[in-house]
Amino acid sequence: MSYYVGIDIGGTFTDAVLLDDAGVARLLKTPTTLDDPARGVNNALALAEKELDLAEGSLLAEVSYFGLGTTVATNALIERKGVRTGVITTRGFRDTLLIQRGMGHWAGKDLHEIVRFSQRRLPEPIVPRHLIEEVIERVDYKGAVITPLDEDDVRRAVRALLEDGVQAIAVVLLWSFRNPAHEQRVAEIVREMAPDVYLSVSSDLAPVLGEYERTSTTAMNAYLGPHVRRYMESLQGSLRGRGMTGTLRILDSGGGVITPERCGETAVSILTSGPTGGVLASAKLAEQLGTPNVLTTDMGGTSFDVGMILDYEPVVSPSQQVNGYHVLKPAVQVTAIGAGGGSIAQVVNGQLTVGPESAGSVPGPACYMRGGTRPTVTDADVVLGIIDPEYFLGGTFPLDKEAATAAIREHVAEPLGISVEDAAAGIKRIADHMMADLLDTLTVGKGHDPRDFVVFAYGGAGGAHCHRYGAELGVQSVIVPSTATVHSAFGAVMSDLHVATELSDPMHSPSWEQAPEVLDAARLSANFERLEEQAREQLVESGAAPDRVFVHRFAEIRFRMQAKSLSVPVPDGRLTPESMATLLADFLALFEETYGPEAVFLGAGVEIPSVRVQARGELTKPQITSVVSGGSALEGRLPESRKVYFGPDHGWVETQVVKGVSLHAGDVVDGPAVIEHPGTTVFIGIGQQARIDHLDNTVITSKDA
Amino acid sequence: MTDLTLAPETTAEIAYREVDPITYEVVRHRLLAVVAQQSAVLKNVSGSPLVTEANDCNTGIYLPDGQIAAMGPHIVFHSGSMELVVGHIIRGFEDDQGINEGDVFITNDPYSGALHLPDVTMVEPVVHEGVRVGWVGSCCHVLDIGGMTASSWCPEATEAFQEGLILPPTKLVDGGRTRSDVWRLILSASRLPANLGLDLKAMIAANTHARRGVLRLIDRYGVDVVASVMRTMLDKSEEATRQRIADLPDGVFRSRNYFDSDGRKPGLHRIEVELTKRGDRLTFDYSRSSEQVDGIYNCTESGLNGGVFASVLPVLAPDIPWNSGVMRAIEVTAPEGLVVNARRPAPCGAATVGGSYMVKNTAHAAVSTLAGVGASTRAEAMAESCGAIQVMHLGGLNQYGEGFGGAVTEALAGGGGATPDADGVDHVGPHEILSYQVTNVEGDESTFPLLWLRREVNADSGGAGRHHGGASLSAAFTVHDAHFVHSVLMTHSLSMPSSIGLHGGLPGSTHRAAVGRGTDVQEALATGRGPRALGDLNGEVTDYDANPGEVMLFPGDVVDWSFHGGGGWGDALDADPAGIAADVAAGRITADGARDTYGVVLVDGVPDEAATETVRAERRDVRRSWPRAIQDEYAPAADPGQVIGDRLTLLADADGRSWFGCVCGRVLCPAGADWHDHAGHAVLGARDLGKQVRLHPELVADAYACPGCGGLLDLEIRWSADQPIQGIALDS
Repeated sequence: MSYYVGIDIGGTFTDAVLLDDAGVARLLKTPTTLDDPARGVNNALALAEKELDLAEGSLLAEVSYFGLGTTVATNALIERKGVRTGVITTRGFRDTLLIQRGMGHWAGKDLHEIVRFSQRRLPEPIVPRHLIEEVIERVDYKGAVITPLDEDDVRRAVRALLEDGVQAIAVVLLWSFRNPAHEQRVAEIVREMAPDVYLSVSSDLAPVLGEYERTSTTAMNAYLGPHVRRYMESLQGSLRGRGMTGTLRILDSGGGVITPERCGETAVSILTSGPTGGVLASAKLAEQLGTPNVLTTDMGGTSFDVGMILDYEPVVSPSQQVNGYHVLKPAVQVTAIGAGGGSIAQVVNGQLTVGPESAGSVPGPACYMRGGTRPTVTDADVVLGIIDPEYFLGGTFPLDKEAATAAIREHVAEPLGISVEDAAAGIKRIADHMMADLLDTLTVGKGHDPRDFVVFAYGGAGGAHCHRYGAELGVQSVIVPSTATVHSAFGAVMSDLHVATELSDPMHSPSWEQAPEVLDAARLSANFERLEEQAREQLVESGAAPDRVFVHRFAEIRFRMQAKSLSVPVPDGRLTPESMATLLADFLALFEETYGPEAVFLGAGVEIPSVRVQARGELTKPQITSVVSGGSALEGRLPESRKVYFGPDHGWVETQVVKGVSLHAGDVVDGPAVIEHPGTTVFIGIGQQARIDHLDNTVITSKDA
Repeated sequence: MTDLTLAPETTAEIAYREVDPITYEVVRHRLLAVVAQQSAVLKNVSGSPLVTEANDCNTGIYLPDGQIAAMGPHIVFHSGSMELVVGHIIRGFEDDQGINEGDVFITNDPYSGALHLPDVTMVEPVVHEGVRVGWVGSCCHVLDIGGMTASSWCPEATEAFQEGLILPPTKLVDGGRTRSDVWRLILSASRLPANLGLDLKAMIAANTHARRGVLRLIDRYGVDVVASVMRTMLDKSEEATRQRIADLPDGVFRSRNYFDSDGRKPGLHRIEVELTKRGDRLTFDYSRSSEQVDGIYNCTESGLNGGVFASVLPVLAPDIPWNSGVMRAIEVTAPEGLVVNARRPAPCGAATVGGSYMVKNTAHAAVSTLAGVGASTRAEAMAESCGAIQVMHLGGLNQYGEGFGGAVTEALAGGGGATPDADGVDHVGPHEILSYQVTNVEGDESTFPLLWLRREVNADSGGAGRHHGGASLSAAFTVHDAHFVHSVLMTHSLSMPSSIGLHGGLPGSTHRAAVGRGTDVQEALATGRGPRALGDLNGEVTDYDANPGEVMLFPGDVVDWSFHGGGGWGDALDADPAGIAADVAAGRITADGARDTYGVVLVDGVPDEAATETVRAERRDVRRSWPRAIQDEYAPAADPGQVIGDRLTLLADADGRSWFGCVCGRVLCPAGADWHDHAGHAVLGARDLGKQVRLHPELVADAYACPGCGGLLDLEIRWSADQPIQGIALDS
């Protein structure tokens, strides 16, 4: 037997999916060991061996593919544990990274934080000012050399950084994406003088207009690169040492997996791979289910993360923000709000609000008995009877309903003068609507019709709430995937190879009408060809079959002077003025759809700031035929029904309780009902029903539908 | 003040009622989500860097009478304008052309509620089954709306008619149909119709989006519920604000600021506020401010209100939803005809950086002083941020041979004010803009025919204090690939500090605007001299000390400028030496600055504690010898009391009488008196205030120190003809 393993090391749990040749997927979950994530991998593998009755240490030899999602880069960034890094930049622009275009005090912050002026702070710099060296050189917007590179000055700068003990150097010169010669020459000199220093060069990493974002990306890559490279080498060494001959691939943020070597070179590309895994798994599932448009919702302990799949493709942002810094690497778009199981409910000035403050997992909700005393969404679920305190996480984690009740009574019910159950129902209703509001913003707010979508719900708390936030939005159906509890690991094992490249070569036309002629189709074609060639080369190098490489091209297009462009798909082949006209018409249609026809003003002219390529190298893996939840199978007796409080309109309603493992394809469960899965509880509302599909997914629809 | 009382029938058809707290929160959250979506559409469609980068715009949902129910996170000045705009529309149209479903109104008239002509505002009613439930609106600072000077910042203007197209409230869309005649009229007034057109479309699209969002919410919950929630949002904010104010001690708090140009000619003008706090109410009285001026720095009533609200909201209501409910607890007064409440047709094209801005500075200083007296609000008190702004608009033919116009956004990067607990934030931007961004140099160089020599953190720009103000930026650029660039540089206060410190904190740096003419910059670049600043070049330099106005730039010319640093908090001699050493390493403060201003002596970057203490003790000794107006002596207090400044305290004796004192134990005087008379006094020079502070010849800096410990208690910058003001006067 040959196995395909997917592992996602999260903050709390390490999730694993074990897929065999026959298409049987086994789902496993084990606590993450934060001191040594590698041990978490080993624990998951040991669990799998037990599940399969294999001898200890024998599984790896049978693993032909190992996909890993890891937060190693993110953790190193948050904890500022990267290496001592130096930056070399153009004379006069030493402070670019520190100034952050004035965004340092607000980037990545919520509005409620931004309005508290007294608490504004700049982030801890990833490179201190004394490790940023200027060199004499200057290139202009055309790529013309204004000041030749002073190589003596470069050597002085490199020497100074080396004397300061840097282990990594980032090279970012102004306009290097237009003319990389100076930057590449600086890189040569660094390699010459310090062959062992980790080197990151902006014209290689992110040849895109905008020196701050390019500096932030390149400096962060240098800062994290050595750390990530070491981790990858040690992991690979350890897996090989224990007999694995199969392929190791790492989940990146942009929409697939990459080689561990590549990961060491572009550490910034795995920064947000955690939430990406779930969206990629959803994209695979969407293909299998034939649902082209999906909102992926992951409700965990502290946040509610939403991704979007349009026509089977995850929506990708060309850049991302991590920890207050900007990274010019595409990331599968995931939008988060502070609404999770741990979100705290409070009454201030007579008004009940939920979140964004979270009790997290420590101290956690009051019912966790870990010292939390403030009421959370999970406490409300327990009081309402949606979560059975004795069967939480398959009965492995008993909850204290009394504590939940007391917390809600003290902090919500009494201040509002309502009953505890009405207070709990209120907390849940507010949380569900906050999530529905985010879904509304992502669909209606961007010109989409929610009725064209289905919602996938996963994450620990998603199953208990999706019946409401999905219904509120008016989507076709809400699907809780059978892999819901380990969705990111599922993404790690199922995802294809992936490369995303971007190039800034700004062009514009003051006239919309003449744009097809004015915009240089030949130059655009050449740029696409260059990017495509790079992408293909990388994919084949990473193990993709040349005939299984699929390339999507995008032109970033906007009306002149706008700040935000739209990614417009570009057809294959050489572009001509005719196809430029089609491209612009596509842009116009997309613009109208996104912002409404009243937003169009052709008199503005048009511009194409950059072009992008996303390429996928398909990997051959078995089709999933069935899903088995391993490990902590639900033990013990479950009552056949329990009372659930449905709010003042319905009161307490006797609600049937169904054991998830006893359900089979084609079964239908009428709401109100609770389906207890080992890792999650799925709640079906009044007037809803759930159908189990051929892959054991739970599909919730309105009974009238 | 304008009477906004409405005919009662406008809201009679809505049955307002109490909504349960759960439904209230659900509806409220969605309304905020709708405003956020509205903002996203506005910023994504706009074609003006002032909107997309500088965030000089606004969005919101309003009650039927124009009171703000929710506003977007942009320029807070508009908190003072939207209600007036809607009021003017209602009074202008209700009985005339009517206000109907599908109408869109546009205005930029500062005498009809807008802040200044470039702030084009568009609002539309939200009508449900014939009933006007409220309004949605947005605003963009557009790049050009006509007038005698490109950019519509007209340094020579003496009346509003010269500043551009004045649009009183006008129907641009009538029942869903855009009036193409009005559309063309507006676009044809602008030198940059392409940008203006996008901005107008952005506002229409954003408002359409918001209107539909509100109507969908009405479909879901009913008109009465949604309307009631909107109204309750204001009531709740009002209640919370009044409670917050009531918790503070009653008294009068004063602040004053000056600026040195009317736009056309130099000369000092005063903005002075007396903030009276009684019970749950604040009154800001600006009647002691200067007469309106002949140039464009006046503001109207909307600018006056906006300046006050923008100051009060973050200090007293950082945790209270921002809407007109907060403003109900605040009264603003000033007679018409002053620079803060100009009479038509006084020009006010630069109101937002002139009258409104100075109102903002003074109201903020006064309300921060008040906040500092209350335990629950003290943490939110803050010295002034980014005390004045340079505005630079560019135009001409760009490097591609096309006509262009635009503004340089780096000029917004002033430093933040210090607080009781922290140094000010570097390059935080203007106080009234919640979040801004500076365009990349590569972005600027791809749209403007300019080449930057540097853009860096401006060392020693933050005002010194126990906590210092944030640093600003400085930069230099030259003309590149063009025969000329037309620039409009509207910049007052080049001769004086504006980011005032609090409680002995020194003011932030004075901003600087210098132009080198016919320099050898091209040669210096080509030969690898690596020029960063005018000092590295040969050429004739004009270092402006008054509003530059229109400045033509030619190849070889170099602009070298910097921006206001933030104001400091408390006595610089109380600053932690280790913190100052870290600031020197980070490039915020120079080693010279550390010694001269903070008395911190560094050896190899590390504070020499003994030497530092010696220097500081000498300086305190000098201050102890400063003369006092009144020589009374009181027995020292056992308990220093409550800190209400930084060293200044309020203490009660055994008989229950209140006294002003110093944390050192010195008792200054009874709380009913002005403690300044009992403190040591000296007049400081510009050099004493900071490395980059200039002081207009008619200004003096009064410093007040504790006669006991020599700690600096207060620093006031004053026109020599004005009497000192009493910053804190508590009711006994």
